[in-house]
Amino acid sequence: MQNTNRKLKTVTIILLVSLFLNVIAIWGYQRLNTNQARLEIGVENGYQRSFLELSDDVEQIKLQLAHVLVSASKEQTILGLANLWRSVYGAINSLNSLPLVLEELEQTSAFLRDAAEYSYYLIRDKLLDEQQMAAQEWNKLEEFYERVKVVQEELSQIQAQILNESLRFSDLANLEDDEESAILSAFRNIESQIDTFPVIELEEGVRKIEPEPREIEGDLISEQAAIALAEDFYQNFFGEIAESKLEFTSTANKTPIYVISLINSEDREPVYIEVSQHGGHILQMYRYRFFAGSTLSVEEAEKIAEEFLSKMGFKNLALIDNIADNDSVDLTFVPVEKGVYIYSDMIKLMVALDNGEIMSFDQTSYITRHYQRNIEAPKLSKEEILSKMNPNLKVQSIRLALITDEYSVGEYLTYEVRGEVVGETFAVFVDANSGMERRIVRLSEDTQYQFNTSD
Amino acid sequence: MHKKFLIISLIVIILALVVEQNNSYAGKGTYSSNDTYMLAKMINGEARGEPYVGMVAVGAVILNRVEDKKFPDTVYGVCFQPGAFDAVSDGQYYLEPSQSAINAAKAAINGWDPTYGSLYYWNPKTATSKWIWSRTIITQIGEHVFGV
Repeated sequence: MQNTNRKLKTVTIILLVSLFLNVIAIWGYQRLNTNQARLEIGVENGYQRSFLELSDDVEQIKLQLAHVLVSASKEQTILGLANLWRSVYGAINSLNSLPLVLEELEQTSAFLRDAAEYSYYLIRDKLLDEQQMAAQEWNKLEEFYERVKVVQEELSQIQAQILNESLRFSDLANLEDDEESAILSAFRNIESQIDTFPVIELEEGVRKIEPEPREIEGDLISEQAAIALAEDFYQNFFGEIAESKLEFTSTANKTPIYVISLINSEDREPVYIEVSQHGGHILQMYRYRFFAGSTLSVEEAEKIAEEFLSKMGFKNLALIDNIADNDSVDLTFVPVEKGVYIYSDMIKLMVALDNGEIMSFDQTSYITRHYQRNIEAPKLSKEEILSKMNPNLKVQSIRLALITDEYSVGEYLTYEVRGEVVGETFAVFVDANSGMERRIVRLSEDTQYQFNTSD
Repeated sequence: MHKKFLIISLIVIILALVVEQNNSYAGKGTYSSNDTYMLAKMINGEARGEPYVGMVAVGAVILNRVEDKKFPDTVYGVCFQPGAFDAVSDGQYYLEPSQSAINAAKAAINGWDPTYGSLYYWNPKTATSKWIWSRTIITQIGEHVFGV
């Protein structure tokens, strides 16, 4: 009797415990599910918000374009163009926050950016110069308007569809390659509609340009010759080589190269060297090791770099920039001709501050851009430039510099005026012939924080 | 008079926003020390196991995107573009970066670029996107090819 009682008790306890565990398990599972669902909703909300911001910005772009087209006053035109410019950047940011394959929207985002660059160009080149906008410029704005109108109408249609059918952007992330999605096809539709419009031709000066590299002169060298040149260069300056091999031959670039890897005998560290196919110049070299703090000063490192450059056969170079940290210093040199610093023909070196070894070297800019220039004397004198500087700038130095412009081909002779304002150092490049401020470069650095590493 | 002042100050603001403010001649623009660390985390997540120059190259591609008008114009914008980088999608970005990744990030920010301005890179052995092969290959460094 007692035995059965005990058994019953045990069974009851077991039952109660398992029931309790079950309840806990179900509760836990539900909780996990709710958390998961909340996270997913959170992600989706973010996407929905980005989409709404995109529609809103595109609506604004359309409105501002119309605003500019209707206005007869310069003030309203500038305001409209400035707002347009801001809205485009907003739209592009939102577009970039959506889980869409952006290559598919290349035309749409490119045309939006063109609208921004064009409005900036009109403000900068026409309106600030007290010029009137010509008929062709109005026509161009109208062309932009027609395209934006299409994008805006499509977006508001997608928005209605999303609202109606509760479409989710998160689903796009899990889409298989050939799977259909209403959101995706709606965006593809925008892209194909933009594609049917003729390309808007923009005049020179609207888009930013990069200086074109010159073709390197000299005979085409063989792979074997390139490996031999890389080996010679390394042995000459750095040390013995255990292995060497050709990694890659590239002709896609304007500067055809051989990529060669070497192994340093002593520490087996890899070395990466690029040799130009024409003329066999050593364009870049990279090697790496762990650094043992700094025992050399930046000045000592500069000496080492200068010696290396003179052994390489360079003359009349001047240091324009050094960026140092605990391990190493990056040094940038440019040629100086008749007292003019030629900024586009750069040579970069990285020197280790523990033993003064040169770790990286890059003369691509120098090799692809340097030539004998005919630099004419400046029309304006130093004094004339200095008298027109912003009185807030405490001028420290002034020198002549040849720089490129971001929007036009060619180089400009400028006075580089370095000075201080609100506790920061700046270099202001003032055109030595027209007196126009061409570029303002901040030289002081932000606060450097100490960050954790995994080793 | 008041209106004119407004217009002029607006123009000044626009120009102030527009003038490119490189903080060195040689580097690629204005980046903070936080940007450097963010870039190091990207390099660590994307190119761990690559040689140093391969790490610099990955950093350079991210910064080339920041400069290119087809991509967002900030380091965070480029990194967090949905689906753009595996290291961000799978969370490897959040690991602590190695010292070499930090050094490579600094080098890329100081203007070193072994990729000739490339905007894309992929591993030819594991790339799943067909589209990526339509890019022009500029160079190959370690396991990655680089292209525009």
